[in-house]
Amino acid sequence: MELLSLLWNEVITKPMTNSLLVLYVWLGSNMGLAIIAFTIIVRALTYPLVVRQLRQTRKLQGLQPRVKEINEKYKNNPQLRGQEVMKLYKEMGVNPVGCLGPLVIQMPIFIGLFWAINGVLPFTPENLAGLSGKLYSWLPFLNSAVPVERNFLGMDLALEPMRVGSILGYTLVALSGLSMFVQQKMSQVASADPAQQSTQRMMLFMFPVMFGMFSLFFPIGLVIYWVASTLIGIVMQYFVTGWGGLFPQAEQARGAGTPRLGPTLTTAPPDKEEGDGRPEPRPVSEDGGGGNRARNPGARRRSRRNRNRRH
Amino acid sequence: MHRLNQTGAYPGRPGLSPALVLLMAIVLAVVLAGCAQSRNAATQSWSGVAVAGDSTFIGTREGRLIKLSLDAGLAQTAPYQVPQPDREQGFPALYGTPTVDSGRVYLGTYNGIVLSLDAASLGDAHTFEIDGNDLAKGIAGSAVPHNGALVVAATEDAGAGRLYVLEAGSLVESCRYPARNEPPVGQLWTTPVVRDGIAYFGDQSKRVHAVSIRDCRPVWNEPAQLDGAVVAPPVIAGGYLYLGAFDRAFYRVSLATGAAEKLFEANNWFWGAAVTDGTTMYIPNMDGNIYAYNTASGRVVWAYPGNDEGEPVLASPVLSEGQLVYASDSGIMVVLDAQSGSRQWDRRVGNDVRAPLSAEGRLVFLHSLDETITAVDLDTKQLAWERNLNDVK
Repeated sequence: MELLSLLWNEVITKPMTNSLLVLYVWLGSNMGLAIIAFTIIVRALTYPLVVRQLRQTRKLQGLQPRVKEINEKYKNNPQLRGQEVMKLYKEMGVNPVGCLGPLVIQMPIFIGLFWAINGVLPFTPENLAGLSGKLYSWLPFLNSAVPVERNFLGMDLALEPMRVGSILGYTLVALSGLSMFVQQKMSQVASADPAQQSTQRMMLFMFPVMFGMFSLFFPIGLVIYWVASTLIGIVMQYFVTGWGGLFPQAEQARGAGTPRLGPTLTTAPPDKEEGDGRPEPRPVSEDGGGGNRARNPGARRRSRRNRNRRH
Repeated sequence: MHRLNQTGAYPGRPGLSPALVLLMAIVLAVVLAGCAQSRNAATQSWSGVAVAGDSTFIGTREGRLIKLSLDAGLAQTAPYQVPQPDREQGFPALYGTPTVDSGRVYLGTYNGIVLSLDAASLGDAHTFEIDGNDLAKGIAGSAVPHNGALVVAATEDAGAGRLYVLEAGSLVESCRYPARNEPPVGQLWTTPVVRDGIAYFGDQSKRVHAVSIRDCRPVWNEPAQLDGAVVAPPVIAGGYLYLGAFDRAFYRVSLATGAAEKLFEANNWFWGAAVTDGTTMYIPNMDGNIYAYNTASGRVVWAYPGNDEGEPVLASPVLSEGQLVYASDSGIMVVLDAQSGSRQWDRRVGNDVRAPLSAEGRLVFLHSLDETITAVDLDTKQLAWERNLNDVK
């Protein structure tokens, strides 16, 4: 346990604390701006991972008609049905829990930043004393930056919105839930399965409500991070998968439009690390979630060829 | 019921099962709740032990003032509980060491209340609440009695502090610095030192102030400007004020002019007050060392242990008959030869020690973070007595 704590401290908390303070010094001693800049950097660093997860979501969306086919075909044999679906996922390099990727990637950062903000914006002497052990000795100028200015837009970044009680604080709380709802909605895969729809509905509301509620009890600095991060995530997601489940009609309408991020999204091969050495995968069907596929004639040709090869 | 496959999805259904989503939500909620709850955890607080007559006075993290007998550590009266104003915010914890003067005991609380109590009974309480934001105001140092006045360094809001001068017995406000209609100084988590009617203190905005406690007017033309925030209480010796800061530098400031001069650098922040025998300053540092600085030669004559491997030393050490006693976050009390800095003996006292050490004759008192008071006899090297404050009812 001690080793785990040491590892967490060295790998997550310390780098975050020092990065935040360096940004604070560079950005004119403004911790609010430092947190936003930190968010942008974290998002840029995790961009490849997030894009990969978003592509998985997109692929999953495109596979829906074929999953439906399998469900119909093996409706009396759940065992075989499961195996066939998994086989399909494997062939296509899709991980069905991949849509949770952005959230999963964010959690260690979120928790690490929570501790970093607690340390950087201390409200007790022991918190301030604890900060000294987290600063890198090779960045001596950080010592002179402590204690940091906690005020940002009239809010104390170290305090919880619940305690501050300002309109801006509550607006941030509302935004944290709302932005997460939008992001969840965008990443959801359309499903004809009632049980799956129920799961999706649960996810759609549960996580945003949960985060919105908890935001009331987290320091405002962390809520700013969460809101900024989710908003950047929405923008990234828009450019990778479009509006997705948020405006499905709009997505269908623009099916013939310019593909986002090029053909990587439209040919639906397994991701490199999963797909190397395997036979060329069967592409996603042409309808529904495979809207992007219709934009790529090459992919469509390959699709038909592959299907003929299989059947 | 369908059996889940290895990805957590129901066979034949893409995506997640409701059970998995629920499980994830529960795990997430527990983690988030744990984080949120950790912010409301009890503070540590590190009040030192004040000695007066045959009694000792100690503050606790729950805001209790406890009076124990000097020789055996037995409770002499029922503890006094600091009142918690009708507001959710603020901790009543006691970080500053109580002070005793003219039959009264004085303390400042972390929720911003100054208290004056009868030292014999811990009754007849007078209180004074400092101004400021309920969410952030507080007193983390000691209240300093001086010629009928009580001097208190207080934080009124994040990054804002003021020095209050009160009438010692009644706690009626005499004046404050800066005045009510002037902008505050930086946050104050220190204990001022008072000499000849002038209070000297450093703030977290990297400045050192000298203020007359008669009218709360500044003595110097400008506050002394340092390169680091100040929490360490200053020490006066030979016409200078000595104190360390967060920029890892130890300074001296001229009492006459307020001119600051950097003396040497350590490897971490200075938090605890130095002690002096008149010519040598013994200075604790969070790099784990005690530095002995000779004010006459202007040199660090020794540093113990002399490396960066020790635990942070926040507690102010004590001097007794040529021996320097200090304790750190390691929970070990170390006795050094003050002249040479060589280790003579040590003793484990339990948890981290951050409260300033105190001594009465050859008896040294330590208050560790697990709320245990340890009295050690320096002559016999034996434990005189030990008392956990949570057991005192």
